[in-house]
Amino acid sequence: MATEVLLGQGSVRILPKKYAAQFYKNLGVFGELHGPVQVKPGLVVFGPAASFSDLALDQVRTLLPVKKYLFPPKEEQYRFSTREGFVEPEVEEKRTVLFGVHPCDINAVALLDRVTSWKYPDPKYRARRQRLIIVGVDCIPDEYCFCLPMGSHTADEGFDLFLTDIGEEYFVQVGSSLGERMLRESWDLVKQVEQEHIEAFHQRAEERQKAFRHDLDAHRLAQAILVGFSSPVWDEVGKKCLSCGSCAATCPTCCCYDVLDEVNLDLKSGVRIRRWDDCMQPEFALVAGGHNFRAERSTRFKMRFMHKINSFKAEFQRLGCVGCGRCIAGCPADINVIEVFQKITGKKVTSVAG
Amino acid sequence: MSKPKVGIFGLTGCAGCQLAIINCEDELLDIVGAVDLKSFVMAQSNNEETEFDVAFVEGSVVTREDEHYLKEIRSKSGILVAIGSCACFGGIQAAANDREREDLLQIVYGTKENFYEARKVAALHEVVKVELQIPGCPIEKSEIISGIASLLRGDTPLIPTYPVCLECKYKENLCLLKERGDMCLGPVTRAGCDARCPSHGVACRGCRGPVEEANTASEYSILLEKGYAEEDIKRALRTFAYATELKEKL
Ligand code: SF4
Ligand code: SF4
Ligand code: SF4
Ligand code: SF4
Repeated sequence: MATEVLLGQGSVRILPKKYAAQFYKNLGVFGELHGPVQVKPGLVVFGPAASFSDLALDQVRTLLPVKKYLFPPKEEQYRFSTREGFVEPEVEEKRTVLFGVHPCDINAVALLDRVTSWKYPDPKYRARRQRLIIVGVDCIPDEYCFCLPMGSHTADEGFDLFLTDIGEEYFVQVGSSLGERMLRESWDLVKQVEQEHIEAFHQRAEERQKAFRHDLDAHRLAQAILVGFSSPVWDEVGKKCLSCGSCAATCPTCCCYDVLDEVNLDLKSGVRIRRWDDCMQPEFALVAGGHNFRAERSTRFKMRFMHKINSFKAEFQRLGCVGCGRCIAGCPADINVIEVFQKITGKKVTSVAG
Repeated sequence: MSKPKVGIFGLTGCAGCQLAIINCEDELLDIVGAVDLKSFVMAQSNNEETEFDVAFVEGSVVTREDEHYLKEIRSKSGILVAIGSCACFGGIQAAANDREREDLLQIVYGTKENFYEARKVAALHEVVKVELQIPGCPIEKSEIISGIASLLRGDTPLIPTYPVCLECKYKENLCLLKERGDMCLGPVTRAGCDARCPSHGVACRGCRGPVEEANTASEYSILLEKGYAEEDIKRALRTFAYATELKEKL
């Protein structure tokens, strides 16, 4: 018997995989098509992907996360000159459909959405966010993934459509009214959900959960970090850490920035830029007079996780780490946050080297 | 306000940094318009021996003559800016700083006679007081222009204090150290080059010199673990900065 579903937010449909390429093409009506693209072995990035076959959907993570679309590494805030005053850059009107975003990254965007509309709203982020359409696709975790213990393995908000791989078909969930319109655009390609699909959906969820390899207890983390404030774990990591900032740059939720003025030689004009900054840098907590609140690498590393875990939780009722594993995959010193979390909560270390 | 009197000088080096200034083709007229260029032997005639508000000095101190010349420039200048990795850290000519000059003279010239009055190579700040350093081999055009603009404004220039890795990540490059096991010095090298070499698939050789707080010990053990020989790692780390920061560590 067909399960009757009303179309609307939260509604579901089935997309046979043989129509996926056409479905993808139809999404092009809504914006420029982007997704995870394999640049070379070992390197996947989000970028333009004109056709479905360009997508590397079996790959677990991109180098930079979705935030690069919302908050680029370096951006012009405005130009200034004594003659013309302040001139803001033109707002790009183009919309982007970002296909193949995994649950951890969707949760990260949902968190960034909160951060940027909190006490100090960020209009540049908001404007870009409104033009970014997110189509999620589920995944099977690898050895660096730990979104399950962090509670980010499923996405309840922050996407327009979400596709779950159930074998020969995708189980399609609608997450917004725009997502509904996108589904309507391919109405002839999708079909109703049957009981067997729902079973396959849950079976996939079970399989996926079983693939997570690491024993972590996220509920205890905030407390453990405070209790272990002077734990040797931080020094151990501090000795290895290069303060390179790769972890924060590739982290989907790190959103610190610096604002700088680049003045032209005429001293009458210039540009104000903002660029990513991060708490692993020696200058991050340096203040006027030369005092540095976190001169030690170990304290900077600790600070990063106090912010990710304790502060994000207190301010946004969500952990700032979604367990995407990017900081492990990208750390030149092979520092592994799973290992750090396990050590700080007194658990057996199950992580592999970064 | 009268334009600041500027001099651009070269000690021992390849003159590439002075050339980098001349190569600022589009902005060269702006530079010349903004300052009173009193001396730039490589680029103009009629140079004046006068006092300078700002002196930019390229190259490192390799001979006694360099030493005297540098001291003379210092005595006539308000602000002395070291430009390029030779001036900031010794440069390539300091790579053999642990060896006796006599031996080197013998190897290179076949005689121990020190007719150049060669000395242990020093970065400028090891000989005189230096107000600012703009590293690079050669210096980046953008940094020299923004450096001059900052000085005119009475500010310190914005030279990155983070390592090459960060720019490398911004550009979404495959990590050569991690994924290919290459001897990449990006983690200990000052950014500002936009990760030029790793972006072309070539490991960073450290030409911009050590970054603030470079964790050389960690880089060293990472490379050891990857199977590189101690001597090769040391040689790589010494290539551009053996006169200064790395001397104590290696
Ligand atoms: S801290 Fe690491 S694992 Fe957690 S969200 Fe950031 S990059 Fe991913
Ligand atoms: S962890 Fe550090 S870089 Fe990331 S958001 Fe927090 S303070 Fe900023
Ligand atoms: S990526 Fe690794 S080495 Fe670099 S700052 Fe982060 S923890 Fe330290
Ligand atoms: S390739 Fe080199 S510079 Fe780039 S991230 Fe890796 S170690 Fe750093």
